[in-house]
Amino acid sequence: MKNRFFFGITLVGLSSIILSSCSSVPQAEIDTTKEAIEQAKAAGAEVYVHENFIALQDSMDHVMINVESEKTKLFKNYTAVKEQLANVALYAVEVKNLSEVRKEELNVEIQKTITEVKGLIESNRNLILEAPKGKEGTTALIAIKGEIDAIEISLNDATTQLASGDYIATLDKTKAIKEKASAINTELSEVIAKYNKGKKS
Amino acid sequence: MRTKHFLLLFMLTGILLLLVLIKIYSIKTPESELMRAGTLLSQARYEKCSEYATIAFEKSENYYDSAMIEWKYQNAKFFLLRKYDKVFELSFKSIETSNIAIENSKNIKADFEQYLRKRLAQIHFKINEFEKKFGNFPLLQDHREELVKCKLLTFESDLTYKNNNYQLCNQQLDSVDLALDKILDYYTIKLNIYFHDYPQWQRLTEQTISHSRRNNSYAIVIDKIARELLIYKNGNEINSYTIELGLNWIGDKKHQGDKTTPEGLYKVLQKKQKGETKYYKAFLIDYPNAEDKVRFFLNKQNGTIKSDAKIGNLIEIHGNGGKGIDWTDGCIALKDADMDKIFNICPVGTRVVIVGSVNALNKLSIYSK
Repeated sequence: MKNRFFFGITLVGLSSIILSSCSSVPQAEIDTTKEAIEQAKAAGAEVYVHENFIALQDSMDHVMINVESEKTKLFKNYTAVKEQLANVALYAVEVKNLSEVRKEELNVEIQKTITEVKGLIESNRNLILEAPKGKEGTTALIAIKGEIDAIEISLNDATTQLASGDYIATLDKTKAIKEKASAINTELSEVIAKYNKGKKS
Repeated sequence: MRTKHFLLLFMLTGILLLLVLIKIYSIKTPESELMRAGTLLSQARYEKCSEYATIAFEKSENYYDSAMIEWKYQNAKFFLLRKYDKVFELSFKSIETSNIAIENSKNIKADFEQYLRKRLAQIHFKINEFEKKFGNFPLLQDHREELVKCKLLTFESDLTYKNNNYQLCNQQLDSVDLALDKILDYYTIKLNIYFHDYPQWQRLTEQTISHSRRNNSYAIVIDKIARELLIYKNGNEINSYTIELGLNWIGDKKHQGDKTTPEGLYKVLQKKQKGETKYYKAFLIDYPNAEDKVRFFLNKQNGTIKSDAKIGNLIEIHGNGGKGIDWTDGCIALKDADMDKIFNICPVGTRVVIVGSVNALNKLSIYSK
């Protein structure tokens, strides 16, 4: 009778210990979430949605602390952690999508600027063709033609840069090129106007 | 007896369980410290400490990672053997270094921002100075393209600065600075070499002015650098006009087609009325004079110019100027109204001296800085 009683107590004790240790770390969920974060990073989230990406990393760090915290408890329960991991994974997908959207927005802006610059270059080249062929006109235009050539080279550089996926730097470059191309357009129109004015007088 | 033993055992088990529970709940776990360390690390990332306070930030990250690893390690042990002292220590170190990194990063970023603002202003100033000094110099095609690239990159760096991308902005400014200095040095040296002839220019100018004084006559002094035609009467300057020159105006004319305006002492050979010249009205000068011919011959002999080169002629002071650029084949162009003025007062035979500059290089304010 006594032995049965002790056996019973030991069984209950052991069961409690086993049960409390049984709840295992949700490693699969952790791996899935980490993978989702890596995908967001690969999508350029660190660069294009910097603040969101930091928040994502921060959330993951907090969840990992909660995982370890559960390990210290006698009766472990990872239900809340699993829920947090699922939320972080969802947020990682959202951050990835935000990054893709931002990249697309930049890409559209870059393409638009490139089209505008190409238009300006064409317009500048046409202005050169329309310009007077006299030596005085030609001299001024040779210099401007050189500048247009330099702009075209820079535009090609920007296209190469875009292909490498560096959207922010490419946008800055194309904006700078557009500014210069516009300035040349104005300068060219002024030179031609000045020449025509001189010719009339 | 059995009951007594049973009670004793029961009490002992109870005490043991109580001790275990006390031990478990008395162990302070490092969650809050690690949470704090994690939050500060996030703040450090937000403040771009990885760029501006790299060492402190990396240290902080390492402390945090080590704390997590140590915590994991301790948690893997049997619960009665767990010790979190090292985890606490590492967490505190991470917090401390994160704070240092954030503080340093803020300061460095502010200093860097200020430095770049100044640097950008300096680069803009440098480009403007280059254009002021050498804007009308006959630039080499490569240099012209390089200058356009510099301007583009400067504008780009303005944008990267506005986007708070200071590291990239600094790299861009480094490239602009280097390229600009290279071009600036090239033309500064060229200018200095050009001014080696200054004593001769000075002599010729003085000669011409004193001739005007002695003979109570008019004289024309062409200052290429200043882009000025000066009219002297009885040795006194009475007027000055803006001129335009040949595309490659630096230096003396060497041969036909080099688009250089000759330098030396000449005189007006012929006054061309409207219809006698393509360029409104003109003074034909006596280029090439005897000195030009000798120099041309010597240059041919020493191979400075091709053996089949021609010396050129028909150098004029004419109208149709005012275009704001150097465009002639070597002539001197004035606005028609200015041409009218000098045409009315200067007779055939008027002395014309064409020099690089009537002032020494150190007296020219735009070059003396």
